[in-house]
Amino acid sequence: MTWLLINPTNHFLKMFPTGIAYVSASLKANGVAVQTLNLEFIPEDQVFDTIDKTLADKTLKVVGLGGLYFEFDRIRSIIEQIRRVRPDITVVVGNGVVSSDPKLMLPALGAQIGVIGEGEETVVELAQALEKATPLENIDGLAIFDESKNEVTLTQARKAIMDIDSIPIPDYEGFDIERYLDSQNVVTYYGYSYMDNPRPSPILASRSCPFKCTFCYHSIGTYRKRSMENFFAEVEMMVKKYNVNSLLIYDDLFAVKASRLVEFCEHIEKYDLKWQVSMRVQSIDDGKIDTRLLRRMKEAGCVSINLGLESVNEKILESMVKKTTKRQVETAVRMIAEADLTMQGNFIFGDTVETTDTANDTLNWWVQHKEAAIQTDPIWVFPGTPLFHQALADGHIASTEEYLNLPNPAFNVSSLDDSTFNQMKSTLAEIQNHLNRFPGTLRELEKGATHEGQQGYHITIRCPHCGHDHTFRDHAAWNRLMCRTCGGLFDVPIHRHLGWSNYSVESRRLTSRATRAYFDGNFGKAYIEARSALFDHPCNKDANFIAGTIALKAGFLNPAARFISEAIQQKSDQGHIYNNYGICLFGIGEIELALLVFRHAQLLEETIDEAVHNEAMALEALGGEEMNLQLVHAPGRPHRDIGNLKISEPPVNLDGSTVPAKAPFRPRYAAMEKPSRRDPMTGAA
Amino acid sequence: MECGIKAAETMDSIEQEITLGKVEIQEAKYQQASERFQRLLGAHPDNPEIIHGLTIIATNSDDLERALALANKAVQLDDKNSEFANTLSVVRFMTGDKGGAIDALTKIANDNPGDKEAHINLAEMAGSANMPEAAYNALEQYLNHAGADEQVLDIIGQIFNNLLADQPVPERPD
Repeated sequence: MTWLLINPTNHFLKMFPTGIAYVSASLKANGVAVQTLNLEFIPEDQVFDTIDKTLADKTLKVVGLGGLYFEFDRIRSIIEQIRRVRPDITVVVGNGVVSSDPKLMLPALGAQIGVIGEGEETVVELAQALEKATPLENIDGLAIFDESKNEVTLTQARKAIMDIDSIPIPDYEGFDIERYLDSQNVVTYYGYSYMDNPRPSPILASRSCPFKCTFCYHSIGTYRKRSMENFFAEVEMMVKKYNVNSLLIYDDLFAVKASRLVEFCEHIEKYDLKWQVSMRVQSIDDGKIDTRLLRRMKEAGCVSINLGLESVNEKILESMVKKTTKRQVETAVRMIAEADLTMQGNFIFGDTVETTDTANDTLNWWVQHKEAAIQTDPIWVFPGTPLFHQALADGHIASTEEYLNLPNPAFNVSSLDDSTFNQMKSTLAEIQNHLNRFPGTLRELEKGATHEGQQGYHITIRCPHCGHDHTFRDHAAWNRLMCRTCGGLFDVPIHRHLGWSNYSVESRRLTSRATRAYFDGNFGKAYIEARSALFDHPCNKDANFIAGTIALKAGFLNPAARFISEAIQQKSDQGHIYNNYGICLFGIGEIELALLVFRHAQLLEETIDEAVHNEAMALEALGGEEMNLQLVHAPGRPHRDIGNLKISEPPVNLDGSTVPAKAPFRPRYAAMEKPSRRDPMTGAA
Repeated sequence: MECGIKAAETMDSIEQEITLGKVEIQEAKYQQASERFQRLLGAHPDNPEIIHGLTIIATNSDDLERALALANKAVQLDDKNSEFANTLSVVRFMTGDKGGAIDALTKIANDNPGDKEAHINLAEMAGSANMPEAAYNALEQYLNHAGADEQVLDIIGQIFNNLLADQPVPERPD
């Protein structure tokens, strides 16, 4: 009996499917015949044909596949196709998509058998039982769907594999590891910008997580670690056989204790690898993992640490059962920056006890620590999590079935009413789209290699955090970069050098005509020309800015905001554009956001008098209060008169091209917001 | 079968007549068109196309009371026809029900983003009701759906020229 294992995913960023590769290795190690089918590199219009052709092999009797909840729709459609082509075949599904809530998900997916929790031992026993046609009910860790009764039976829970060194290493060959390594590149993904030509391999040093955060679901039992010897045997093989030069350590929680980190650093430095890990903030704050150890990690090749920050409000942290505190978050963020490592973290908003006060508490902290480039997102509710069950109990979702039909899992389970929750989501998006941006100073830009049709560039750029210049080879010009000196995240302001020349001749001609009409005071004609330029090239920053500024002058705030926002999306480093965007926000009543945008404009251009004036007007509108900005608030604020605000004229030459910023960039984020090597708590150096 | 053919011929002949009437309206031959549509109405009292033709004639003859009654009847008979609904909105606007007309036409425009006439009418109504942003939004909605359109862009240009006539000429960049 031969099994077919399918990796169903096809992501923009190609990520080796570690989970199913572990399952494949276990089956093969136990003598089960396995074929593999990796859909990651199959064009979308050929996926079903490929499945049909593969299933023509009648020796295939079982198909195994799985993934996370994100892939639910895709997995379901693939299972439908499998069962259409081969109704005789047994479909087994595993991983979080089914383990999170087997009774809901197994029938919804249309598979007959679910492997719940850690799969390596369960699939081997399942293969043997199917081969011998013995009952499945005695196998631990299964969900069995009886379609005739529309009933799911769960067998005994599978115990976690405590000795994870005993698990065979993933079936790298079976799932095209070479192809994944070749496809990992800095043209498409900034997460590897710590080096040129990365060949990063995912790897696990431990499994699961000992913590019970309410928004998280662990399908694979208790926290266990691999021994150093076992882990580095796999690393050695990856380096020698596949020429891997960096590691993505996928653990939910890489290290809690300093001693393991010290040992890890000693082992890994001989391989000269770059590596990224996830850690807990309290691991850093408890004093065992100090700045010295973080610097030791950097010396040993660590480039980036992912932290689950979530919030700085104690009430929210407690509600999420994070077991962390605001002080720990602050210490961890500061110490990682001091060790010149990249910190990648998120704040998530919308926990069950979230109020406008708690959300504003964390957002104000974000404003004070903007340089940390922390993402701000609404909370997502996933099946199997305590949050999901709470949402069900509180009536935020009527039933588990209803959940499957929701457009996305970011719905309101908080203490906010729906309209305030939506205002909060809009504020989070504003912060992400317009304020969480740190353009560096572009020195040189030239075309490099292309990757799968996407143009790469050699980018010489100055980090706005530390002022060091670096050359990134064959990177995407629109991407965020990780400074190779200080680890700070920053952006490439492409438009001045690249955007204009990339627009079509027609779009440039029309923008040029729009500019001339604008500076002749013929705003109607200027709008017509700019708008026409956008039909030809919707991303044309200058045409968007001219159209937006004319709409703003006419008092059409929402259309103006749309055009000017589009100009910012072209990774603008122009304070003028931000200034006009801030006026739109002010006019629609978002004074706090407007204040931040006027300040951001001044970070980008020192000599922008309009933004200085407008900042003062915004502060006045806030009654001089800026300590606790009400960024999240009840919606429906009245519109405000923008007559006293100063609109910036388009920074565009008469030929339509962008005028360079009035002041050269300098590393002002570092100067203004990340200067201190002092502990903010104690004041000690 | 024969009866079916006869019915089809009759239908063809009505459509032909209606088309001729529409051409006469376009050519401002209202008297001729009115006679034609009145004659047709006698034989087909519930044909909404005929009633719509008479609505246009009544509107152009400034008989707004009659136009409103006819326009309502045409929409009653075929509430899916955006042209009839559009005409009803215009007549309502002309009879002084500006808010109701704009609301109704906004719905038509939203439901039919490719209906250029509805969007231009809406823009004109909003403009004359001193709602320039609503006028602009209506025209942009059409552009976003249909793509570049010289006539629509020109109207938007006029909106900005009217609104920004007093704005100082911006200083040219260095």
